Amino acid sequence: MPTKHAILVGLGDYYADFGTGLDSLPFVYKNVDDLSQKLDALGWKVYPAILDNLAGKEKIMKYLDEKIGLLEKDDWLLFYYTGHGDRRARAGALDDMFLVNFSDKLRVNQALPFDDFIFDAHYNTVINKFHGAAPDGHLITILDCCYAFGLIDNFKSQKDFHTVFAASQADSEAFYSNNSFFFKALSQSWNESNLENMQGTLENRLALLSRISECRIQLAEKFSSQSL
Amino acid sequence: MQPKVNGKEQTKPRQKTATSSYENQGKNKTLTLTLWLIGILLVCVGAYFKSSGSQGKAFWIVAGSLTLSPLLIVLLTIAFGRINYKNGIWDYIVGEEGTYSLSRVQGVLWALIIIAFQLETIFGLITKNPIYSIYYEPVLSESTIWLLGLTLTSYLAVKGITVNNIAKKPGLYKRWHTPSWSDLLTGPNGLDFSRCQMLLWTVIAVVVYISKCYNYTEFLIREANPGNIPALLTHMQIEYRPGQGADKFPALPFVPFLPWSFIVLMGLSQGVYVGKKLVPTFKLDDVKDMKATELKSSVDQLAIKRKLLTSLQQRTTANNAMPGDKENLQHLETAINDLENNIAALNKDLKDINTFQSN
Repeated sequence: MPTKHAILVGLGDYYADFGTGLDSLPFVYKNVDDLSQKLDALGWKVYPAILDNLAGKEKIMKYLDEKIGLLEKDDWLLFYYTGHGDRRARAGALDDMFLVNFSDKLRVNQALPFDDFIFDAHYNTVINKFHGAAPDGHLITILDCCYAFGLIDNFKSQKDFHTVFAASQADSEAFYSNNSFFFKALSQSWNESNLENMQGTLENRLALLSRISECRIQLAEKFSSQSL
Repeated sequence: MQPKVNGKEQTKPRQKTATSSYENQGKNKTLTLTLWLIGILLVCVGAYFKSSGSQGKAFWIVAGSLTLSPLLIVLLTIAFGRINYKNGIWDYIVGEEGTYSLSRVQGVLWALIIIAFQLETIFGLITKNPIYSIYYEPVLSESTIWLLGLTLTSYLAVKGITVNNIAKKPGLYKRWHTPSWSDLLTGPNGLDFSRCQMLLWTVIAVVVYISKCYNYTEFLIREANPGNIPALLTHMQIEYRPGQGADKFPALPFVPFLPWSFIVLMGLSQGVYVGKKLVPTFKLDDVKDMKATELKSSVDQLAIKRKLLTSLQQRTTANNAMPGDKENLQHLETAINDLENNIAALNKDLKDINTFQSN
């Protein structure tokens, strides 16, 4: 029986408290709590969430490395990120997407500290490490941010083992009111009996919120009939 | 909680603009402007050579100089490789809040017009006879220098006030705002009359000053007596200096100037504009409401974070936490302590305000 591990990262108050010029996202704590409780109830090993100014690139990458090091060959790993996301132009190629994770250099009126952010290329190394450590395992990435699917490079080569729930396409923004629309729909879909049904319910809920075109869901082919 | 409009939740994107296209946007804006300026300059040069008579030549010299002046600034900026800003060359007029700044627009505008006037004088002398260019020296009337000084002082004062305000309230900086010309008329509370009237006075002053520049250049080209040229370049208007004696060159036009009453008017306008930024736009009741809202939100957040901490602690004990996990928990505990301190401070502020109001 594989062990299921979950790593949750949330950035909310940090954006306002540190004068980043970005909107605070007050709902991330409740979402992290709701998701961790749900996963806990389903038997997942949920690690303490990395929040706000602790959620720097080095910490997140190191933490992911540490937990991937614990995996057996058929274990599952879920990575959930809720916060801001953005992208940087690359001449003649697709834009680079990055998570606006914590950086003490992210300040109003100053250049963006790109070196401090987790880009799609960094996350690609995480995916490769996961597949190396758990070749029969299942990686689930849930990204609740703008340009979310941009964090995933070359999905075709990962379609056997990687499931992605992205709140937005690589070139679109993710919207929220009192909570993220994506998370509202996600929380209404996670009781489904398998991932395929979960995808259907999630898309239906988003359609009811007129937000279907923004999200992007890709299921790992081998695991689509299994539940969370 | 976001406001609801017409029964539908108002939404907003997490970020309005991607940084992706910042560099390209800036370069494109700058290159577009450069091409426009070069095009207009070529038209002016062609029309100058086709025109005959002092009026036609003076007109195209003034038009060409007003084009060449910003073009020189653009080329200098490109030469230094500083066009990768989000707004490119337009960054010169973007203020600390990320919007177009009226004081910056005024400062840049007057600097460009005064530089253009120097170019007009040089080209006027060359048109008359290239050898006369040796007479050139920077030609500036006292009132022009005062006007430039006023706008620059206003710019500095506004910058100081804005930076101070942003330091206190970082949300004032609009990182994702795309500057637009309407920024010149709007303040934090919508349309701002002090900005509107100052913009209008500036437009009037610019039109008057440029028309004087044209008359001056036209006279420079037309003047038949070369001996008058050195006098023309130093012929200043004397408005408030009784006892200076009669003007020795009554037939010569003055170096372009603006009346002192106009300078005083501009000074007053700038004073109101700067002063308005210093006057708080809120009342004590507004502060009280703001703090009460923040308190409610902080109390809600505290409850959520406490619940999160409790549930994480329960699971972590069962999972034999590693150092990284313990760090995450400690961080959340610290955040909760900070929030509790903030709530205590907000309660104290509200209590002080209530005490003050009841006295």
